[in-house]
Amino acid sequence: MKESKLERVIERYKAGDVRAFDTIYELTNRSVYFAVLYIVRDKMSAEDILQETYIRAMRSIQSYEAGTNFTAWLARIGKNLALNHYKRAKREIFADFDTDAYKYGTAEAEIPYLFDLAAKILDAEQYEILMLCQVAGYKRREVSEMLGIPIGTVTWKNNEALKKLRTYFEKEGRS
Amino acid sequence: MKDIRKLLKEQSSAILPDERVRENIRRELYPEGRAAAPEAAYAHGGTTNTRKNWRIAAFAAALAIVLLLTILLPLALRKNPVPPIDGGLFNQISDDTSFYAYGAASVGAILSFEQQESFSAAPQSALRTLSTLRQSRADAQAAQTEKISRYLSLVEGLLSDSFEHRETQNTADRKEYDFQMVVTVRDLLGNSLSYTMYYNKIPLSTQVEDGETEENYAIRGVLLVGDREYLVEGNGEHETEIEPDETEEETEMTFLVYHPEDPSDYIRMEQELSTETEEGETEIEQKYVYTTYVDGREVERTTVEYEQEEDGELELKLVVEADDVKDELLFQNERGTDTSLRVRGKLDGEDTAFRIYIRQNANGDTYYDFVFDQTHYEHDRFDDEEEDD
Repeated sequence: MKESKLERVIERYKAGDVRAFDTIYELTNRSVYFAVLYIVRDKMSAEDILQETYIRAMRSIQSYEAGTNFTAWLARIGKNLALNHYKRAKREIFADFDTDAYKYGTAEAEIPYLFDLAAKILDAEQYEILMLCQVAGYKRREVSEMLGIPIGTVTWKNNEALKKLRTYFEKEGRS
Repeated sequence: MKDIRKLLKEQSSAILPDERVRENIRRELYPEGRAAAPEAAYAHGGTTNTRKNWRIAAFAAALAIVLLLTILLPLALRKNPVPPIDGGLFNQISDDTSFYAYGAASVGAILSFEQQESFSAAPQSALRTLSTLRQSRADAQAAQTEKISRYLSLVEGLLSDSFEHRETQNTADRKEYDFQMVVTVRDLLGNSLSYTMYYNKIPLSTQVEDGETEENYAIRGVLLVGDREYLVEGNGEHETEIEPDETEEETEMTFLVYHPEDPSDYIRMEQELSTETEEGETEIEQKYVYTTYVDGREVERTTVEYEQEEDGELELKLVVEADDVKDELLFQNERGTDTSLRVRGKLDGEDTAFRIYIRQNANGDTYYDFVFDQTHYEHDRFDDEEEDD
């Protein structure tokens, strides 16, 4: 993804061309989604929050300052919503939310073991980088632009995350 | 490391957000349905919301079948003594020019379906044909097997030397374009079908490696299919990442074909090619995604994913998503049984499994031989029942 391309599309949207929404969503949704999923650990909840994130963001897009990393701006909105959701759920459900969060979704929304394991053992940045590079299919350069960190850091954290995940996965005897 | 990567990729569909999220946002933000055409279609201008008469969605699945069989059959069956099929388009699509040529050929072949009388009886969706074939095998075997054979025959026309493309500096025909490309494929009856594309090149980058110069460029132009003219756009992106113990090369190419009367209807063909070398092992993955848009909205997505392991094992996965229905077929060749292709997966939510063989009868004619579970079908390969009689 070219950040400059995204900025151009945002300008179009701000100018009233709502057809630009599709492109904005296409270029940003996975980064926001995985940032949210890491917090709520439940696919259905993450999708609801993703939806709410875009609705809020697009309605207040005039407050986004051009050139300040739109994806990160969206992700911040998403993370705040996710944290609120997490706190609310923790109050409402008297259970070990950290361990059993995925159980509160429906069967179809249940997160596969490997992804659940990744969320448990990786820190937020490692998790997001791994998901964007290995699952969402972005290039490391694109991830570097999205997250606003050097490409070398993306490469290093991606490899570290893979190694860590493999070690735990093998230890669990599932490989 | 590769296993973990592979597992993550394989299970990605279970975790990635559903496409319905986007639709829900749209509905919430634009209740009057104003957010229609995405950027690509919009770039061409034109009017929207006129009614279309091309059944664009129906062609994408057929196209995918053409593609996957074009690619996989020659690779999987090439050791078969009859017929000798070599190469395969995967090997031939090696640079920008050949990708754009293949885009013109494969999309052109599908667009021909609605224009040519000879294809009018062909099924609109090859997957539905397969599904029908499986469900009503008792009373409709012959007709249905003929349908699928048409696809296989068409595929056969796209194999090996029958796919040719020739680029020339444009002459007098269309002065607004600098280049002309003629792509020739052979149809099921052995006749040649040619598609002509006129276009301008937009240079993207030039790479010099081992004394060879590779030019990467985008194109803008028109594709002629029958008496219709379709706007086309092609773009490419190439990237190489080199680390001490790992090299990754990635290529992403796109080819878009727009409806002549309404640019918010279009097919987007995308190729993702990834070559990864790690610890002396090389893994090549190729993915073709055909996405069909009507009124700027995605209505069908067909993904063809191809992987060849170091040990030579081939796998091709076809996924068609449309109308909240997801069909999946996995094509595999098995080591030691190079004369057949094993196919299994889900169609309309039900499991299916069959094999495809190419065989030769006593007259020397070749035919496709389908083995569906316990039921056995055979069908002439070239629709030449009359000659057989």
